[in-house]
Amino acid sequence: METLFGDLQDFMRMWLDGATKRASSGVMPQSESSASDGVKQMRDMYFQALGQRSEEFMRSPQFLEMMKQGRDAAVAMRQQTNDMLARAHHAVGSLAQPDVDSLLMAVRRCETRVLDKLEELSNRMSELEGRHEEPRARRRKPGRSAK
Amino acid sequence: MSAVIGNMWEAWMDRSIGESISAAKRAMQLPYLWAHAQRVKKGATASEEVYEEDHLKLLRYKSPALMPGATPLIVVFALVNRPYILDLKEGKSVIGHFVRQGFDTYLIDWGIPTDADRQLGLDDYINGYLLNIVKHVRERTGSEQVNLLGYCMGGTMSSMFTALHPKLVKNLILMAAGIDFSTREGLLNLWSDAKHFDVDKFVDAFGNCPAEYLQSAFLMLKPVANLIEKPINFYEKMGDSEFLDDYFTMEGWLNDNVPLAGETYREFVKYLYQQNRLVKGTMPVGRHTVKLENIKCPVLNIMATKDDLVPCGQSLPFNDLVGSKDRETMQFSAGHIGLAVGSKAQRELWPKVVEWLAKRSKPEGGGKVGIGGGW
Repeated sequence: METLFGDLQDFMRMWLDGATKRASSGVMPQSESSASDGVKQMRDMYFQALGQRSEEFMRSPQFLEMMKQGRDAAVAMRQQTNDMLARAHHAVGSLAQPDVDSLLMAVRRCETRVLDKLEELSNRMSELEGRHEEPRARRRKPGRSAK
Repeated sequence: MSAVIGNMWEAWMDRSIGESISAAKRAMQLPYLWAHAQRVKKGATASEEVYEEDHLKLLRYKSPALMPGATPLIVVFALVNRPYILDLKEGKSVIGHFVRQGFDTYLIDWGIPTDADRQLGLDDYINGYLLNIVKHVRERTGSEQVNLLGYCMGGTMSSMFTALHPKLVKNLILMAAGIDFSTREGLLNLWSDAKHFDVDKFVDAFGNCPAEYLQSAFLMLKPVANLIEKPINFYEKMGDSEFLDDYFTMEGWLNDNVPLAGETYREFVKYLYQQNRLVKGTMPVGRHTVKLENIKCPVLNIMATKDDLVPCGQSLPFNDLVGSKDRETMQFSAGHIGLAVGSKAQRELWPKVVEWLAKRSKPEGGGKVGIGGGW
């Protein structure tokens, strides 16, 4: 009962907002063409109010909870589908997605180790190059004039 | 009194007849709508593919007259949409502005990830693909550095790249890029909060983040505008050929979402939206940690004041976090996409951006970056 009253209150607030905006738009049609413009203006005001209300609703705890439950349900259903397909594949002796994923992860770990080593080597080379350049740069500097 | 009523009746009849004629005209357009939609082209500026790696392609835009000695520009778009929004059509092309100025301009088309790409993370994109692209452009142009322009998620990634490889970037431009995700101004920030969204379970179940999921999230940011006002507007203006051209071009792109690699989605949501690590200086990219204060090059931070996807509050703190002395902000009255394709932005914003970059793109004394230029 309290939820229903709360929803009614929200709806009334939304309706009043729209009506207020329409009234405050100050539309007074003077000619034929401005009458249809006036109607459009009122319509736009109403949609603007509706948009603001819908944004408020999408920030409300009820909507966030509803969204969370929807997502969790979608994830659970997808997980069940994945498990069912994996079992079906294994039952006929073929590869399932988790098997391919495990293989991909193994290749990836190997790739990461190799790339990390390459990066380490590249950094060492840069460091060595810097050390090699330093004495050359010192040799290139003009000698001190004799006093 | 009867004269007033008579006038009102006459006016009402005239409007009814006028509206009926307009409705009939619109109905006559219906058979041609499909054909009109098929005529829409993607991209306005001539380009060639100069590099590819896995699904990624690098497009080079042909400039009629290259600015001598200017640093090449690489445009980095988000991973969740197709990049041709930046070269949508004649008169709505960000790329066109730079090409006409004489910049050697490149655009990254990240491609469409498959299930096999679900393990790709930010490290693969930033220190893998993007680094390889930068190296390729340096080799083909002979330039020691590149300019980077990152849009939206591409801007976030460009800022991370520049912080990790500061010697490779001459100038950095961010367009509506998310940096500080602590704000709850945008609905996406709220919806992605750890209290409401278990991203680990989502990615473990789905793998790549589905394109439809992302698209519905973007639509729901403005449900009234997208689901009610837009169709009404379309119905009212479908007799206007120019409107139809713009509409189908834009809608074609809006519905051209791509999935996002699972691990990248996990890292983006967890480390940025939920833990806000980039501004804290603890953002991990592979084995490395991103420190924005390592960015020393000139930066231009462009924000859209009516952006509901990346509100200004998400981009604004960037300039205070970098170590650059030359830092500038441009706030423009437009939405997230209007920043690129809006008529006002095309007229007023992009000439200024091009001018900003042109002043800072001339080569200086040179000086080698070193073997590999980073890693």
